[in-house]
Amino acid sequence: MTRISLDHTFQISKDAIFRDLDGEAVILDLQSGTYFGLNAVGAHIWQLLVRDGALRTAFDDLCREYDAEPAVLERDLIALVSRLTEARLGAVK
Amino acid sequence: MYSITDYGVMIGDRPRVRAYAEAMKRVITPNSVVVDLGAGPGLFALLACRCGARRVYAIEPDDTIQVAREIAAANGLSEKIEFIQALSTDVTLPERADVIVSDIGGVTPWFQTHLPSIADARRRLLVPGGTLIPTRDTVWAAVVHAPDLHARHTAPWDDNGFDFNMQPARRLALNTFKKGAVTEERLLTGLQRWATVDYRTVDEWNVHAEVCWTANRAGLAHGFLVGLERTLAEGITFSNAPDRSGTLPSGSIYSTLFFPWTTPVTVEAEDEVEAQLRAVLVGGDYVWCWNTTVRDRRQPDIVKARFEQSTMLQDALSPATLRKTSASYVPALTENGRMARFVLDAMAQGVAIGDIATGLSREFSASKLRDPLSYVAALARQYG
Repeated sequence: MTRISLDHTFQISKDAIFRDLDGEAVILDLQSGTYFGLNAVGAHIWQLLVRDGALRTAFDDLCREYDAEPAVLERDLIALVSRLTEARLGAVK
Repeated sequence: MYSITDYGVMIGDRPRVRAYAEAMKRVITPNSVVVDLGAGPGLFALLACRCGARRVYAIEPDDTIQVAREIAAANGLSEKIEFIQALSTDVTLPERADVIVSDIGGVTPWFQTHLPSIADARRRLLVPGGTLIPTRDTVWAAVVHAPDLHARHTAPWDDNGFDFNMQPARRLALNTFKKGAVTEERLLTGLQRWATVDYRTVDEWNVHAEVCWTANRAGLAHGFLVGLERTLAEGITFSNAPDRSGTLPSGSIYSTLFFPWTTPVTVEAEDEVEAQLRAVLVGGDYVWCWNTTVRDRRQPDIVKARFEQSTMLQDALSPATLRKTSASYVPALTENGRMARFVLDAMAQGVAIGDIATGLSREFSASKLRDPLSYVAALARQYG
C-alpha cells in the first residue's frame, strides 16, 4: 500500500456523494451502498480536497485556518485521506 | 403497502389490465402452473384460472390476501388457487411454475426490492425455460418544457407568501422526482432509450447509463421525463410515452416521472444535452442520481449548464440523524429500544402477548406505555 505524503493528490471517486449539514457531512459510496460519516474538521478537509485534490494545498490551508501544530495537522490530514482511500471514496496518486 | 382503494385504481387501469390478460391468454395452457407474484386482491390469479391453468399460487405478504381469498371463493375458484401470505423470497412451492406473472415494480423497474424478488422467483419458482410476464421493460427519457411540473418543486418555497428566504427547503425539493406527465408538444428532444431490463436474465439491481439528446427545437427546458415501454409477451406491450407511441391514457397508474433540473435552461435547436442517470439499491430502496450537462450547439466546449442532483440530498436530516447513517456510528439502546428488546426476547421464549404486555407494564414506566397490549401486538404482527 502506498505511503501517503503531502506530495500526493487525492482524487475523489465519482461514486461518492457528499452531503454537508451544519458543517458535518455524510458521504454515500454508490458502489458499496455504504455511508461514511465526517465530523466538522473531516467535512472541511473533504471540501478542501474537492478543489484540486493536492494534499499539500489542503495542508497549507489547514495551517492557515487552525491554531495547531503543523505536524498534528499533517498527521490528521493523512490519516483521514488514508481512511477515505480504504473506504474507496477516492484514490491517492 | 397499498390500500384497497389503491388496488381499485390499479384494477381500474383497463389498458394495463387488458394487456396483462392478453399476455396470460397467450401463454397459459390447461396444464400450466402459474404464480401470481405480489397478488394483491388476486386479479391475475383469477385470470390465470380463466385461461385454464391447472394450479395457481397467489403469493402476497400483505393482509390484502384475505380479500383475494374471499374474491376467489365468490368466483368458485378457491380449490384452484393456493394463497400464500409471505414474501416470495421466503416461499418454497411443491412444484415449479410454467408462468410467473407480476406487477410489483414502480413506474420504473428500479423500485424497492422488485428486481431481486423477480430474479429470485425466476431461479427458484419457475421451470427452466418458463415464461415471465412481463418479459422486459425499456425505459426512455426526454428533455421537456414543463414549467408546471418544475413549479411543484420550487413554487411553495419561492412564493411562500411571507417573503421569507426558504432556499434550504427548495434545494431539497429539487433533488426529488415526482410523477408527472406532459403532452407531446412539450418535448424538446426525442425519446432516448435509457436502459432495458430483461426479466428473463436480469441479475443486476442497479443501473448507470448515459443518455444524450439533441434538442429538436428551442425552448426553456425544466428537466427530463422518464417513462417505460413494457413488453408483457412478444407483441403485447404498453407504453406511457407522450408521443404517438404511447398506449396508456394520462390517468394510468404508469405515469411518467419528472426529474427537475436545478434551474431551467434555455436551449436552442441542436443544443446537446447529456445526462448520467443512475439508480443504486441501498438498503431496501433506491438512491437516484442525475447529472446533467447542456452544451451550446455552436461551441460544444462551452457548457451552458451543469447540474448534479441526487435523492441522497432530498431528505430533511438533522445532524443527529446524519451521524446515525454513518457506518462508524455506535448506537445505544433508548428506552423504546429496551422495550422492543424485552418484547422480542419474550416472543422468542414463546410467551403469550397478554403475558408479555403484563411483564412490560411491570418493567417500564407507565408514561411510555399507554396501551401495552397494542404495543406488543404490533411487534408480534411485524416479527411474530
